Amino acid sequence: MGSILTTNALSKKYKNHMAVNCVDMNIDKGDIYGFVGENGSGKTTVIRLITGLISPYSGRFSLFGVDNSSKAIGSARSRIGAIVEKPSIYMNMSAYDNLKTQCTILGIEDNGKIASVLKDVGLEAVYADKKHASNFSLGMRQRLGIAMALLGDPEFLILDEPLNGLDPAGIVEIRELILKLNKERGITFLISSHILTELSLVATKYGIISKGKIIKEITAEQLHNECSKNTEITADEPKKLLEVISGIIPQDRVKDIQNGVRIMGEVDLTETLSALISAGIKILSVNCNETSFEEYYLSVIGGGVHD
Amino acid sequence: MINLLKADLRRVLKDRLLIVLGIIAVGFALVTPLLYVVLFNGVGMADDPMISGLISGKAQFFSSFSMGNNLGLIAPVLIAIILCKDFSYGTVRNKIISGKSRTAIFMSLFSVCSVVLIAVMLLHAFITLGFCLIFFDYQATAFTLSDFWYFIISLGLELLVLLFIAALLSWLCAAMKNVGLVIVLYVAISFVLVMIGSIIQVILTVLEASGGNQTAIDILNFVNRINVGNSAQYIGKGMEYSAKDLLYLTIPPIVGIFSFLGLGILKFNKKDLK
Repeated sequence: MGSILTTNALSKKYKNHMAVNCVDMNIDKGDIYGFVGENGSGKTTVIRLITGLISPYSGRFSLFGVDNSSKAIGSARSRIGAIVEKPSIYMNMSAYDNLKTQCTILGIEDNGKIASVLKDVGLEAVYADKKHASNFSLGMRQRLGIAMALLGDPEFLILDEPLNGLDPAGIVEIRELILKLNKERGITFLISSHILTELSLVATKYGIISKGKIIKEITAEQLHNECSKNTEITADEPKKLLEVISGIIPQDRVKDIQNGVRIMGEVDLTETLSALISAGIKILSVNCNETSFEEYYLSVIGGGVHD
Repeated sequence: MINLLKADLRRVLKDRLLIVLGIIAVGFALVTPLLYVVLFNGVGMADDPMISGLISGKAQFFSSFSMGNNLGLIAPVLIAIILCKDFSYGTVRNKIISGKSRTAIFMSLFSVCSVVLIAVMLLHAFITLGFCLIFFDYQATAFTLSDFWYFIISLGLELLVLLFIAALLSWLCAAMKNVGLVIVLYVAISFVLVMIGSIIQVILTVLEASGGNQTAIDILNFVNRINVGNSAQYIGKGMEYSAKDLLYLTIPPIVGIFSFLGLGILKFNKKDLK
């Protein structure tokens, strides 16, 4: 898979504050990259740097293989669509006029394109509506912003908090739209969101940012393994316990912990405990756990429950 | 660049504030000559040759372009509000993300600002002239071919001053963080330019009447001639321009236009956009 975005020690400094500090991240073609971080962690700053709204203090990035210092970065940017922080729309214009103006900027003819993107985001009802965007709900503005970003048939779509202001039905629609665009048109996504459970339904890769630094990049599969069900068993003879467990459970699912073992994934407790009792092991405790994405995230940024 | 221009013109033409500006321009054009008629008829001075020179169609036409005049202040302020919406709504980001260069975005802003400002001021000036001609003559003497060329050259000089104002406004829009600051600074700058012109004019009158220091008179004259905010004192006020007049009336605004455009492009290329 080709790389869409690679950042290399990308940094941004505002006066004495390092908003983004040596960020290294990589997004491959077809990824849905979930960008996760607490408020003020630097997510939006990274997005602003990539979209050219601000210039880096140091470091570099390449977009579609084009270095940010190259003159061709403009044409590379023309292959992306983005919503940064809030939808960029003219509040004193209708949805149609906003989209028509964006068509003009992009130098494309309407030819049903406007109706098509409005339908994609569930706003087909406002096609002929003269109502100004200032009268739209937050969710409608968000959808219109996404429609604007979709107009140029982007290969890479950057959505900064796209679920802000959307009702539950809207969240489901946008999620389905993201999955559809990724699957049918091969659009790569960078999505920042606070709604981790929602992000976990679409993302194929995650970047966790805290205090301006990427502290973890992890694929959805790796995350699934980290967060999946596990059973912790402690006993009076931990070494013997490990020996017995390793004999009945594949070794890659067994992890050594203090006074016992952690078995990842589903486990037949009756069979396992019978085997331990037969081996004469005195069991001290049995705990069945499941780590949520939120718990995992908190543990990674250093404030959580995951060890 | 063409696409940006089309898009900017499109969004400006869709702005209701432009209609308000048009109404104000037409309103002032109709009210000002009427006020003169009422005022001077009221005091019985309408036939005074000095007054008729002051309120001729020609005088009213060219003074309607003045930076310190009613519409000369209101139009740039309203245009700044319209233009700055691109920054306050964050829609300028769409242009950058679409891969347009910041220089092209700034130049498009300047071009649209110039077109709208010139269109509004021309609308105002020609309606003023048309309405004035109902009540007054164009000028005290007969209109000749040389008057026609003088009119055309004067109009060209006024357009140059309007381009100067558009460049100043564009620079302020690109450099400042909010529209309020743009308006305050624009009004302050234009007031200062106009005030400097008026104050120097008074000092010059006193110095010349009292036979003051010639060097001081020359310096003050020079300052007044290169002050673009004072150009209303010189454009359309005579019957012909000398080569020296034309240099004084063209070089300062051209230098100003290029300076503001240069500063604007430099600033906008470095500006962090939220």
